[in-house]
Amino acid sequence: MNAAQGTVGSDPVILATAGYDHTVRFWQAHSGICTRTVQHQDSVSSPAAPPGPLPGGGPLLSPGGAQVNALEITPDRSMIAAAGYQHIRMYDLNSNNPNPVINYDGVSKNITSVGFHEDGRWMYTGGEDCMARIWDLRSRNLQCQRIFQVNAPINCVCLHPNQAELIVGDQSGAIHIWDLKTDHNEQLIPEPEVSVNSVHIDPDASYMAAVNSSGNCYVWNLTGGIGEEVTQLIPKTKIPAHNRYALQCKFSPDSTLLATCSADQTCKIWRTSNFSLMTELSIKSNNPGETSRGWMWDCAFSGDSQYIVTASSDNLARLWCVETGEIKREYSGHQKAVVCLAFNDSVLG
Amino acid sequence: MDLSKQCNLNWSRIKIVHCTKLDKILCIQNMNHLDSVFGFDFLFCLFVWVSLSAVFVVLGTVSMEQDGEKSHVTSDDTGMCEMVLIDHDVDLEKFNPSSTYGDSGSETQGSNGETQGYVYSQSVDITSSWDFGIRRRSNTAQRLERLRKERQNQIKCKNVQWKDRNTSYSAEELSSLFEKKNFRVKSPCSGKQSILSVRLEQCPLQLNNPFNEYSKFDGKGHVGTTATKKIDVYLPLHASQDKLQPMTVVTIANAKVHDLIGLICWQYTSEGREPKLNDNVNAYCLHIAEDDGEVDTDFPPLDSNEPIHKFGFSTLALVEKYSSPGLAAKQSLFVRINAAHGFSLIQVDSMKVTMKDILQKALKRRKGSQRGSGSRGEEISEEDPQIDIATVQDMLSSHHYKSFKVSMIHRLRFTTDVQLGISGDKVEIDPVTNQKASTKFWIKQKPISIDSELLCACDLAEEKSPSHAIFKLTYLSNHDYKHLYFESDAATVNEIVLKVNYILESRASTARADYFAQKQRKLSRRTSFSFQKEKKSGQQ
Repeated sequence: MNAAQGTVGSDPVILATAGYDHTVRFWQAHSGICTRTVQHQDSVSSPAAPPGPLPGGGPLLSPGGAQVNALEITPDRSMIAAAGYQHIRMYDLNSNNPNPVINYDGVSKNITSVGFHEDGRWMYTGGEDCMARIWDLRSRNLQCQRIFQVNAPINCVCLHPNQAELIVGDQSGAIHIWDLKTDHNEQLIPEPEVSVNSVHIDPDASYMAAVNSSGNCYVWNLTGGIGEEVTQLIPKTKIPAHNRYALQCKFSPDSTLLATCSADQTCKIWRTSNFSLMTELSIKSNNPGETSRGWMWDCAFSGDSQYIVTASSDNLARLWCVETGEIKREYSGHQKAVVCLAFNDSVLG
Repeated sequence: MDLSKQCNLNWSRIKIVHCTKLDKILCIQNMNHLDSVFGFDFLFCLFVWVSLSAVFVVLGTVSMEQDGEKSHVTSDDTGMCEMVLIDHDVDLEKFNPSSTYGDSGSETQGSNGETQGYVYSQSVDITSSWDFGIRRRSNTAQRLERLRKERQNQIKCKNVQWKDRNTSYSAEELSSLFEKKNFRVKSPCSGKQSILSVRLEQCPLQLNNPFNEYSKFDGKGHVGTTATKKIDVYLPLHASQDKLQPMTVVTIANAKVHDLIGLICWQYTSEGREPKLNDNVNAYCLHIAEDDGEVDTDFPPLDSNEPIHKFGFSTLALVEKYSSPGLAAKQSLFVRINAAHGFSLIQVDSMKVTMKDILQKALKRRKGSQRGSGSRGEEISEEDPQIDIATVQDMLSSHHYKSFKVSMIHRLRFTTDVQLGISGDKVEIDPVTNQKASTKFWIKQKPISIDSELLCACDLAEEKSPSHAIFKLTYLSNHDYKHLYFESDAATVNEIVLKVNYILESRASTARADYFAQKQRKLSRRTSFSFQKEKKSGQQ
């Protein structure tokens, strides 16, 4: 089981993690071997410790750090985007170049969220400068370049499966739905003044979930959104998922599960049929005296929703079996907290 | 140097105190005759003066007397002038065209070529004692180097700045650019396995690499970003192979030797090589090896705590410590019989010994000692099992100092004669100076002294014949268990083993307890057999 001979992009399973140690690491997911590391340096010195909470708000991202806030693989698997302080860096997956090939900047403060249109036409980002942007990746005259401004730093941005609506969550607790086609936008505020840390829509566009710093997870039913139909959100339920900050929420590819990650050292998996708890993935120690081992920062399901990878601030990423909650693999190598990951798993057939 | 002669001017206003270059420049300024003779030089000097006078305005201590009696020497403690001058010194040399002009009437240029050169070169008076120029340049040089490297990397990296699109969109534009996709049309993929799931099924046990903590020293993913070192490691662990192929390991350069051993074990295990390695990284050490795989035994193994980048060797061999085949130590089995006055150790051969045998042996010892002690005039009752003179004698004498002449066995079976001094407090091993063959000269035997608190075990390893037996002494040294092997005749070896074991049992040191605890943890087949279970479990 040697490390992969080819490049990361040639492997049908891509797993990447990043955090505070200035590197983005790529792993052979089934073996746990780190196959490639790229540098994510910054000219400004990085902070010593991972962030803590803002008073009343979400997790504080340190200014001028070299940490990676978000990772996203392009839909065509050619590159991976690492969002950091004032830039987004793209690394080539089809070579072993340790340096970025494209650097997007001109933005102030941390960029907290990054994603792509499924055809690779444009990239979307959200950041602490209170703006969500659309970066045109194709046309020279930057046809698609757009900005959406809100009143508070943005923590998360999510693209509706119809590729034309962006959901933006900010630190003031507001969730904005920005219709790219009509340029209309609408706000939802499930819990005022409590920072929204993550929003996600399932691949079927049946549900939208959002988690905030109270540890609550709000779920809406989605209707419409195709053609001329306006997307409607009907509140479905509120899950008191965690008793500390909830940092991430993700639906599984088959839409049957919803995972929420929290500062309480757990990642909980809920059934979307009735939003009951199915499994709790915990890194808590058995020793009652031991303080927190780390926060669960990010998660991603495997292609068939059988497994989930989590990133936590104890410097490890782990692969768990969703049903049993058993740890299958540990990805160790980062020297500091791992706060984001990107996972692209192919399905057979 | 006397400028007045050269300049041929009215010096009445200025008295030259000592002619530093500074003063020369000042003099030039006061000249009324701005002679074109000076030409280019003068303009430059004027420029220099202007900048200097700016400096002096700040410093403000220049004064020139008109009457020629008083004079001032100015000095600048801040070093600013030095800095300016030094830089300008260099520049003036570059701009020194006067030596090429020839003697066109100017006495400045013509008269004294040496003086001319002297004028424009580094002044003897102005030397920088603070190395301003040098330090500044190196800092800047470093920063420039770093910037250059970053720029090089950035050149390969395309930079895209955010640009706002100034024109606003029309409704048609928006709907064409941002179409709403029909997401309900999806390729049916549910129910199928993902590639990760398939791969996980195929290798379910990959996680059980006991050396996972060392995987972070793997440099394979870091080439080009961190300093790494590539090493070929020979693994002479199974003799069945005719040709040894080295395993190539890439480590990050600041790993220690101990970490490198861990990394080698990790890679070995994750590559599925056989036979399986010992779980304990400390069981292995690295030796320098030749390119053909031959292990160099002249040099000691690489020190575990040294960083690997200290060593220039690119070919190493992973060797199991204490790997002397045939000396796989068997633990001597002692039955501990507790009597009123202490305890007695009776050596048995195996676990299968019966109580009858033990009792017989014990009685034999007592009877034997009674015979011996009878000569001392002591009345011992045979029926009294409590008092066992043999036990007491053994026990007491075990702590007395006694020395033995034995041979210590080194790696690869070389032996040296030593004197083994055993007492209740310590064990001393002193080399006996007359070595046998000259071929053994490279084995340096230093005297070793082991405090009894650090002794862990002493076991009979081999008893080939009455004249040849081997025992093993284990002790704690710097958090590592060290084993020493000695050989002698069977009687001596047995006596030593018994003696040391009495000492060990009576001291009940933590080193010994830890050693046994560690052995238990390794699920070893060897166990300690004792009648008094409570005491043993307390130790463990």
